[in-house]
Amino acid sequence: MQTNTVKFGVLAALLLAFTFGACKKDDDTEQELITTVVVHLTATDGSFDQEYTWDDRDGDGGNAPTIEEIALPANKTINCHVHFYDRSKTPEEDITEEVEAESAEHLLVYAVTGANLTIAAADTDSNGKAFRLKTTWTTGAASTGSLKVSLRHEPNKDAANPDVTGEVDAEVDFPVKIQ
Amino acid sequence: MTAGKVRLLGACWLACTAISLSAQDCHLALRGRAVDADTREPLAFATVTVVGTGRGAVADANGAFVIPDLCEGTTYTVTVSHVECEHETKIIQLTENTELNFFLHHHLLDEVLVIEKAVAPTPAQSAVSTTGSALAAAQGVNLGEALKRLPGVSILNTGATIAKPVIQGLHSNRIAIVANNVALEGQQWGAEHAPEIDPFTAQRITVVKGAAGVRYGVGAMAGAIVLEPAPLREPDGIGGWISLAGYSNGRAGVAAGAMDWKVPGTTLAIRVQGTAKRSGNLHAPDYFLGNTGAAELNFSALAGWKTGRWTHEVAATRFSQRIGILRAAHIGNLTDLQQAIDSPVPLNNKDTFSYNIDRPYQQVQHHLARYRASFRISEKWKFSSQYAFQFNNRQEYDVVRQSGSAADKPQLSFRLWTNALDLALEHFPIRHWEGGIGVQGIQQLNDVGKGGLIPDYTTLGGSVWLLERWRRFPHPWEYEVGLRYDYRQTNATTSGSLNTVDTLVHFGSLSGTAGIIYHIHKNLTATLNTGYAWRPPHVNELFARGVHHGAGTYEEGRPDLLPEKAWNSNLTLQYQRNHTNLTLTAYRNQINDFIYLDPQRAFVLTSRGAFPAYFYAQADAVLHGLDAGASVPVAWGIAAEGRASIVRGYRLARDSGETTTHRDWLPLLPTDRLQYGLKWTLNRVLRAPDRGWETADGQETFVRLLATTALHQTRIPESGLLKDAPAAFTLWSLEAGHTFALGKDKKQLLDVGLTIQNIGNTRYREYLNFFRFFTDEPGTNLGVRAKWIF
Repeated sequence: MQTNTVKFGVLAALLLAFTFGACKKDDDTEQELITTVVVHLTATDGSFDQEYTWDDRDGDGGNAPTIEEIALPANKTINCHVHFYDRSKTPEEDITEEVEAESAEHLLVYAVTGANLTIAAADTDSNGKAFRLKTTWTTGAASTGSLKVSLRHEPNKDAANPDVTGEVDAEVDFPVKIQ
Repeated sequence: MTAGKVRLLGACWLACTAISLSAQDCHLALRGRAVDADTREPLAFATVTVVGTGRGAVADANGAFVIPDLCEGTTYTVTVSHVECEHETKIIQLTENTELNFFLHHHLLDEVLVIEKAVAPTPAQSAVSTTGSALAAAQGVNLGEALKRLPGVSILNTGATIAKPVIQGLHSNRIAIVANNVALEGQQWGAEHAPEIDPFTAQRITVVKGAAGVRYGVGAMAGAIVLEPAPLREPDGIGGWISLAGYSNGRAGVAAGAMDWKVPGTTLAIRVQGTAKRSGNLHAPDYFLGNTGAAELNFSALAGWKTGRWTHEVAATRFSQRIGILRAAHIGNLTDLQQAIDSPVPLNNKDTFSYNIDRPYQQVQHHLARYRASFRISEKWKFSSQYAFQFNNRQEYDVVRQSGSAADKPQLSFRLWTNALDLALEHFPIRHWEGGIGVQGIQQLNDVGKGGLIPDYTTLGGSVWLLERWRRFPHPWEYEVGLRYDYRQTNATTSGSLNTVDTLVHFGSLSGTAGIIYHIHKNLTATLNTGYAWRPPHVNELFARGVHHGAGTYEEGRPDLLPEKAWNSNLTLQYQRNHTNLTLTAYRNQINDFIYLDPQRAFVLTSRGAFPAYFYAQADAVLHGLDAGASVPVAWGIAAEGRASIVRGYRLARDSGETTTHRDWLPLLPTDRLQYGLKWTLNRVLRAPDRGWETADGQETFVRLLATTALHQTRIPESGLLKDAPAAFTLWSLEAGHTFALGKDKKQLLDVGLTIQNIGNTRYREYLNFFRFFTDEPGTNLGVRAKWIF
């Protein structure tokens, strides 16, 4: 009886020790988070070069995102390149590279409301289909409105309207002012 | 089970204890009752003989007898005879003081091997069990499938492959799952986290309904699911079983087997058991469900032996599972979710069969090691101790960009280590009271991968309990009282994650239970139980912060939540006569400070668009309902069967203090559900031995046709529901089973069975399935199984 109690105690202690020993923090997970969307705009005539940022680096919830207003000159043709980052990490992770590497599995969608702005594709994916990471913007007369930029993952680019297929990886709204 | 009348045959008992104890313990008592198997009437003055020893006893007027001073480990042949009945013989080997009832039949000579029997009496509380053919038919699927036939139990699904049991409307953290005498410790807070249980390890699964905190700890606020393994082998030699099953839907195959070995000349008995499962994409009536395959591989080992008055048991189990998550259920934001809901067929769905399990999927391992030692102090008292270690490792793989750094890593990982130590002092009836006292200590560490929804935490806890039962045959009343105190301290910390927390919370509370059983009549029993149980708020309810994908909601915990307190009362009436069985349970469960997700009428802006915000809140709530079950013989071996489960749940007041005049229905309450059908038992038809496929003794040959009707859930919270509850539906299923006796001495059994689920290939959606937003439930599923017992 005595020896059994002792044995039991030793066994329990060993397992406890093993348990604590086994526990150490390691980063075996990899969250894919897009905290930041940057719209890089350059006018074809060189008169304009600006970046506008949508940023929520503490992730979902917590502090509200900071959103810059896109201010554009009227009646210009502007080249646009969109960038995606995870700035919750240090150093920041540039997700744009991954999106470009898998261009066939991604699609950017732009929706303008209010402002006199038209957006046309300036690139294609690795299969020659729509991608729209790079676009050409044409501004009209002075106006205000908003722009929704969406990054879609695994869309069906052969569908009648590929813009609503797949699932959203990022979707942000910028206020837009044309002056 | 009714206790035999405890009567020590004083003089003899004293005489025997005077003899010094040899290595073999010779003061075990066999108690029991002789009962007419058909009428359940006690058989007064039945003669009990231990063949070849000259020992025996005559039962009293109530059929109760005691034979003291039997030796441990010796094989005895016990014969009970009575003038009105055929005698019954059982071959027994005692390892404990044992209670054994003899049911005297008219034409049956049974040989049953009895082994150790737990001292603790069955709960004086509403409980239902599944065993035998009903369990065998569902073992190949999952735990949920094995339980969903029981009245008062429903299933919360995340797709067809992830099933969580719901007892009387409550689930997850509010119920305990006890397998192999150990409470399962996993990530039970998540509605999409299925319990890590292999149903093949159980011989019987019992669902204890209502507050069962005293018996099973703080996890069992609304009930417990108890899985009991088959006892270890007693006679020397080797035995076991091999089971194979196949299912048409998902083209699934299941293989399971167990081998038992009693080492000759020792007290050592060993069992090894294993289960392997593989299934592919399931098929709804109109389409395949892309990425719904699953793979499972489980092992367990169990060994028991004795040294002197010690009984030891060591167990180890390993459960591992990979479950594909329906690709169509993976959404990015609310617009995606709305599109998925509006579409009549699942979007982004690969409508082909495949065994591949791609992202998104879950990979889960659960390890358990357990050592139990009990010591027989005296004829009345027993001490037991148990140490259990559990490690739960859950990884969730999301759809990611393959070129990224996340290519082969999970997006979420949870690792939970649990140590639990149990000590108990239990006793056989003393002045008709039996029960025990005990203490428990628990230590936990939860490690959440970076970016998880919840922080890391460590938990320390302790409990003290007392549970006593009074019963005295033939006194019609039985009483049970229990009291328990639990303390839990949790330290939640996070480093490196976005959700920064460093808080220590601690909770402690009493829980109690009181039950009365009244045997109104020899066939009719009433059980009234009332219990008070509690549950500390879980870390996810305190500190969660993030978007709940699939639900399309942003969820935030509240660090100042109070524990939930449940006051549960249930009344059960049970009528049993011959093959007629009627059970009715009415219950009311008042839960103070019930924790729920409260919609905020506000949106949280994220980089994937806006999500509706849900904050954890608490308010008093009430759940009440009825569970009913009936099995009534009609004619020619045909019995009508029916079961019904009805539950209503609502909040009494909002936590701001304002009282509502209308009822705020609780979310995710099971729909009213009815099951009805016929079971045809063919044993008598097959009795004629010349047909060559006679049913093995004690087994059933049956065909069962069963319909399940689930009504439309109209009682849903006003806000926060994106899609109406699905329409009512009725499904038909068919089951059949037969057992062959094999071998020269007919000792081997071959149990074969057939099941057909959803016979009409009906299109339907379940309210309690999160994937009802995306797809129909699976269509017809034909299953065949064979189990060879040797």
